[in-house]
Amino acid sequence: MGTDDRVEQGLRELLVAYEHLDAAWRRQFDLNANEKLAIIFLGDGISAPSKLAEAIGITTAGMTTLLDRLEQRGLLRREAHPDDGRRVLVTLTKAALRARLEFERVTATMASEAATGDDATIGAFLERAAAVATAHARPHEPGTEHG
Amino acid sequence: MDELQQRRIAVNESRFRDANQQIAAAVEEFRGSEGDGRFEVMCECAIADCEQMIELGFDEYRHVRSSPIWHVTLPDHVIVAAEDPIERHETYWIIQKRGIGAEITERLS
Repeated sequence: MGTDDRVEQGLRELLVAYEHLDAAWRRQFDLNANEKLAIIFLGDGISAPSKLAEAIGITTAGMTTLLDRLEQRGLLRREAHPDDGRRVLVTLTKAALRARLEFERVTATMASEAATGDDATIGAFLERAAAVATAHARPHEPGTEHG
Repeated sequence: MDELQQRRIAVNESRFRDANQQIAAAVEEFRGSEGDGRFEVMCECAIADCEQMIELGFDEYRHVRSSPIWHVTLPDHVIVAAEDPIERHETYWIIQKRGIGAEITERLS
């Protein structure tokens, strides 16, 4: 097997393993895919519902429904602006952060157990691969193609 | 308590502290100078099933953050083998890390 084949196969195996990991994690915390993304993006510091909706790729109406569910389950808090009721701040609760940390614990274990000593090169490769995957995951816009 | 447990506790508490820093910054930016200045942060304890929040004023929160080895917790939410309460308020305590936990907490701040 050539180097290119090995990289390609490794990526496929990683993506499949990730699917299993993601499914197990979401089952454990009873989250659907968009709810999980909301917790991740909130943990990354996105706190405005409109920006969350954009990051996840859903409508603002869908975002409201999603936030309602997560708030009812005690996973986030919403605060209306004192002067402008249309503006809302969304923050994670400790329960949600615990769920996120559990996921990060697995990725940290993966990183430490799979370490080869060439972290900079591998890190750069994974970042570029993630960027390509993200670009392919976005809906196609008219007149654009993913090569 | 062995060193690995102390490390794990310190890392978790530091994550809660980082998340609270993010909450504090977001709330302050969102509200501006308006509002009553009180907001909810996560209890920064490492007790496995604690998912509770604590209401604090901004000044109280800034005081907690004045030391890199302090955390804000609910009363009694202390791992006595790794940390000491140094301020006991009615609704929250400030705890101070010690030993290897203090070193990690300071390094991660």
